[in-house]
Amino acid sequence: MGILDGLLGRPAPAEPDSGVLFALPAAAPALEAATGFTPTGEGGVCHRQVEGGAFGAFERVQREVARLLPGDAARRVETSAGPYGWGWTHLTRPPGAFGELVADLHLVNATLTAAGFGRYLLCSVAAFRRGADPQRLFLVHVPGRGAFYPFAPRPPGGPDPGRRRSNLVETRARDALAGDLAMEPDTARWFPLWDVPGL
Amino acid sequence: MAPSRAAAGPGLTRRMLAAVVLVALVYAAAVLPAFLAGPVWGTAAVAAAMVVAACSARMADRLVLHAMDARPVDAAAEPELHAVLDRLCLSSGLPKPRLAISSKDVPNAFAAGSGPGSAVVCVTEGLRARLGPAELAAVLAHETAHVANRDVLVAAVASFPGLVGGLVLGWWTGLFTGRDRGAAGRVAAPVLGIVLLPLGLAAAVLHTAGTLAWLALSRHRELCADSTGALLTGRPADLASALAKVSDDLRDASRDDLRSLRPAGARCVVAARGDGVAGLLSTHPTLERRRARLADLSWRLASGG
Repeated sequence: MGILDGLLGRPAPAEPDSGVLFALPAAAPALEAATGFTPTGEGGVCHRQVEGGAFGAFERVQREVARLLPGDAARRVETSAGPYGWGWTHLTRPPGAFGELVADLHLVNATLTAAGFGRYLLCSVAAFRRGADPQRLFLVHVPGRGAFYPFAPRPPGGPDPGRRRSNLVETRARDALAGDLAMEPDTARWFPLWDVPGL
Repeated sequence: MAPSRAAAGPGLTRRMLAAVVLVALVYAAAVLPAFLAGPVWGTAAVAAAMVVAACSARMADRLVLHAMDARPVDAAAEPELHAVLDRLCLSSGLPKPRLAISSKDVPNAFAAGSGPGSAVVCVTEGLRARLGPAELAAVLAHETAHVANRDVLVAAVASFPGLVGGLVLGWWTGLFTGRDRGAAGRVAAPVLGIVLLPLGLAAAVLHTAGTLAWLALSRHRELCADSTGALLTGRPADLASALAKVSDDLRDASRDDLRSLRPAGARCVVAARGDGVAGLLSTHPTLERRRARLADLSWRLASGG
């Protein structure tokens, strides 16, 4: 967003670029080799619940997404909405079908962008786990920045209650993926997502 | 597809540019003597005045936060509000502003800090108690839009000539009404005042023109922040209902409550004196005007951009 745009009161929207999502399947082996985390098959897209009612343009796009991504034996699709005006499209695939999950995530992104709602996409997320360890790792893709960041919430029931993140897991994941993916350099922009699907 | 540019609208941008030109004219008039010495000196004087105004904004920030009894809160204390701010930063690309909560019971919110890097967004306890979650998110989006547009800085620079004019005018009238002087001063001061009559008149003109130009600009910045904020969340109707609730509550609020908002007055999401003398003397546009614009945005979103 340029300073002039700000001063004139018209901040420019960042162009969403969901194509970089396709780099995820290729980067997953590097992540597993360095940290042991493998895909769980869960993922999701977070977006604004744009208003307009049941017959509005946004609902129409959501119906379009539901039509393109029917739930079946190999894929589960759910939607959820929070009180603050954003919602998730949850996608679940078998753990082995990570490439297909990423393709689904991209489809949701592309459908919303094509309908003109690209600026209301907040992020796309893929979940990872390490064996039977309750620790989860999420790779978050922010369309406006075109970058990924790791989010590793500490499992509940640890020594300290409350919402804590594991810096160690996040930093290791960042280091493991830095060669394959564009990682967000500014750790202040590694925003936590406590309502992420798969947590 | 660029809905945000369409949302601000060429008409609004044009009128805002007109207000900017007005402010620039006020600056030029304020440093007229320097312009008589040469255009370079005049421009330098304008630039110097603007820098002083920007610096004064930095200092005013801390005063405003202090006067509003705002305390910074971290993510552990306010997870929900921080989650809302996080999501706003995800979509706007801004660095995350700090969050503060004011203990005042009057429903309102304001942004402080002269740039996105140092910004603070503050909501009052009264606002949190009265608004629903989606409306709260809409108000935070409005304040985030102010941060993105650097409105605190713009307001400081725009209001500076009027402020200085007012100070000089106050000092000049003090020459006639002042009592805290010795006998000699009591005779000399009115004489000095008569000698400085042109200065007093100039200050009065500067104060009036400067304040009117600043208020015109401020109203347009509010409309811009409404559109930008509503497009950050994609929910203009939430902002409209939040504005209506806050305005209603401010109308019912006691005089003391309103006085407690005064330090942050022009920065609040809804002005304390909404239906003032006339549109010309208000920092914020009327509720009807803001809601009409938001309804327009709602319609555009519902019909597909």
